[in-house]
Amino acid sequence: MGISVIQSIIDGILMGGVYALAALGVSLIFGVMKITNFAHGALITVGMYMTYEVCTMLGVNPYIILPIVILAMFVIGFIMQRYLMNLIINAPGHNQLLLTLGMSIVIHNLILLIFSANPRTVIVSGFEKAIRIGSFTINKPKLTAFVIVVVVAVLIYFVLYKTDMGKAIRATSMQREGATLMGINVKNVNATAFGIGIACAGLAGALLTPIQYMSPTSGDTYQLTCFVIAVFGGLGNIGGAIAAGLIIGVVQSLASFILGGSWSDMIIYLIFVLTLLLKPTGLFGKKGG
Amino acid sequence: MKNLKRTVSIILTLITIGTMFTGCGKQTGSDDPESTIKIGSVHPLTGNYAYEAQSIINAQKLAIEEINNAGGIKSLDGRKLEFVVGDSQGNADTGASEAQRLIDQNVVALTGTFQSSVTQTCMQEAEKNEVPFVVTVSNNVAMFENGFKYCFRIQPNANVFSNDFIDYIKAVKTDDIKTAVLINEDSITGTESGDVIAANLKAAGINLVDRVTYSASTATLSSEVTKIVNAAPDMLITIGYFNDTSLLVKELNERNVSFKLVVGVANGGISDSKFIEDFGSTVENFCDVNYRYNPNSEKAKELLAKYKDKYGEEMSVHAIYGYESIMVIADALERAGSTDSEKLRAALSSTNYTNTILPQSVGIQFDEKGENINAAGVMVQIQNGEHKVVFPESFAESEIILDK
Repeated sequence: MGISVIQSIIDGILMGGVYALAALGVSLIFGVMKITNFAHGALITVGMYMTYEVCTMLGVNPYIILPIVILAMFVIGFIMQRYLMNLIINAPGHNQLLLTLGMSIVIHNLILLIFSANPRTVIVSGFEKAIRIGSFTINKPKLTAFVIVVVVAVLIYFVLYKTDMGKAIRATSMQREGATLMGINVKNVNATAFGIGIACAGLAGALLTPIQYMSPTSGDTYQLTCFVIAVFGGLGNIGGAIAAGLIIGVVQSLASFILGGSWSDMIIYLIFVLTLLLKPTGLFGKKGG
Repeated sequence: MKNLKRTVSIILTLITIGTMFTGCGKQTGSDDPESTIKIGSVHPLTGNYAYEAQSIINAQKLAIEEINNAGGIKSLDGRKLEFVVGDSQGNADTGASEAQRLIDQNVVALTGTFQSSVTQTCMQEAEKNEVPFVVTVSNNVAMFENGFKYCFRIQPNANVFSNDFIDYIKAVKTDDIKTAVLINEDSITGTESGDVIAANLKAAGINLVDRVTYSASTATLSSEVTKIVNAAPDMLITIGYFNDTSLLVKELNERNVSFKLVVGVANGGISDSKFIEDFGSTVENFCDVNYRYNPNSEKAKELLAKYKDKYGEEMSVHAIYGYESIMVIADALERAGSTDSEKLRAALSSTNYTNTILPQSVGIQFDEKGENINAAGVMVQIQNGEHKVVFPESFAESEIILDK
């Protein structure tokens, strides 16, 4: 029993890494633009299919083409924000919700049209068997994803806190009007932040391709989990999103193990509701934020 | 530049709006003797089960084409059939409104819907509007206990599957298979079959050591696999759809877990040929008690070849029931000689369709509830990368292999 609990925690942490990455995108986008991106799950799916297509076309391992996916998803995000989201940046919240929801429907149907509903998977040679350490097993694609997520999180932290663009993003997220007055090109900042957020979604999708089957709605499983994590970690709080991702991963895994799979989602949403009720600024959010 | 931006924005917005309306189709046809006879089909063309749904729709289209090419419905002056499709999106409410939309388009009969929860609401719409409904795939037992008059089901229901499973296991198992773990997805379909098996497994001389449930849309099954590893059973019984069963096998393989016997019950993964393509030798000797075509039927073999030729992939077991649903409706239309819903209903309930490709020695006949009284599952096993029926003997293509 003890060993199995530790095994569940290991599985939870590894899966939590991918959740964290996807949620980081939601959190960043909300932090900067105050937009809740309901197309996030659909964009994770885009990342999956992009990885699948490029992999099978070039006949390579999905990990080699990650930079291509990150760059392409960044460009998609940048353009989406510039020519679509930017139109409604000052519109009431429900308009923004409808637009992102509409985009997710468009994306679903485009994927369905282009790729059909056949489930696909990428099999990475050498990754089919798990690593064994004593009585524990570690899933290789999940471990790889976890390592990459850590690297990417450090990179994003570096961009946000050590570069001028990062400073501008943080300034915009604090006070949009103020940032504009200080001569920050808020339009570019928004598009860049959205681009980074979508690149995170795409990368999460790419890292999931060797882990699960993809179908046109695969990313949707992560949509709500992302919101829960982003809120739990404090919207706009990058470190919070990572920590919350890992916690949710472990909670989900333990709940499945101890109570059964049907319970795990319920417990996650219970955490969501409790966070909203008791500490709406999130686990690491400032008071009154 | 400003103009360009605006143009791009407008185009994108139009695409967004356009896509929202793609669900709305044209509205034609009536009781005009020259017009086509419409048959409706509600399936989850988007969502988690789009893959399975598409295969059913493909097979239904094939059936409609065959009937039309052979001269349509002869007793109705060769009137042709027309196929109209609704997308339930896997959602009970959407399914019901799609069923209503198709009824408004004057379909003579409806078919659907792959998910029991959606089938239930669609059946209610059909019953209310007195339009015959033939289930393609849905195995929930209770929905045929409501005394509905217009609903019919060709496939075996969950009880038939589960009882067949117990009977077949009793007949084929060896003495060294003593313990089992049952893993099932937690929707109405998986739970119902799972309950029957959990209650009756003892009768087959097997001890159920653990039962694990999960949500079919889950992204990971690692905790569930840990539980199975802990129980270390001789036999694994799995009830699930394609994606989740594949995920399960993937995680079992990663940890090098194997069993003396793996048996599915109406399993959407094990009975799918894509499953063998993806997992190769690791799923060799996996069994499934499921619906299937009759392996001795020449007509079935021709149909499978035709399907593969047309759609470029193997015909799924679900698709076979899509095909049969149209054939049974066409047969009833032929005998009714009318598109009147009451006459069609009466014709359906007196069906004795013997030209079937299903593994049943007698024709498709419905009881007063609307269930096919001759429906039965068969046990298939993956042998040398192919599905072979191994039980019951009358349909067996090969003998079961138990010593792995």
